[in-house]
Amino acid sequence: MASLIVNQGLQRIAINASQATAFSSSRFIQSMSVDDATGAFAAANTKLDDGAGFTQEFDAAFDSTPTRSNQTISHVMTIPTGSGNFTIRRVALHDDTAANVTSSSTTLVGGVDNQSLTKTSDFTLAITMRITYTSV
Amino acid sequence: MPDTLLKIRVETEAWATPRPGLSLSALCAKLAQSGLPVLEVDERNNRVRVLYDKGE
Repeated sequence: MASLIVNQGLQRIAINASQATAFSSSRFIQSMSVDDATGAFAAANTKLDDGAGFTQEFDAAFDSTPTRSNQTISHVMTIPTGSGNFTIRRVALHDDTAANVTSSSTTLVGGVDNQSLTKTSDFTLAITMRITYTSV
Repeated sequence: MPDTLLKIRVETEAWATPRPGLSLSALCAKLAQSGLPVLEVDERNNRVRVLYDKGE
């Protein structure tokens, strides 16, 4: 599977939905990152450098407040020409501000892995991640 | 009643917009040169889709 919400991310979603113990009004899904880790996301991952082959990342706040359509939430981040210029292997969501997201911050919610997208200064890159929750 | 009650899908897409001074066709040529597949050209919005993962 190329995309995954990690256990820590599921906990964040559940905590905030129910405002359960450890709820924080400042901790919600609010930033996105790209990195070059070649390893796949695993359920137990809590931070970006849990992934094999990780050397660099770029993160930013969303362009605007995420939007909802039925059970689908859309998150958008734009990488400017001068940033993130490496081969992007993974895109991830985080439950903290971009200022607090690092390779070792325990902010990982989930994302997509196993990509090969060589970003250069020739273009900006707008990335959309949509999470759909479906009853089965 | 099924054991699984909820399915979560993460769908990802990415669009590249050329830097100022670079045309859309020139960007397509550069992307092709670098081996990055162009999945869709959106001339109206001056962008090309370079990533689409349905998460399934």
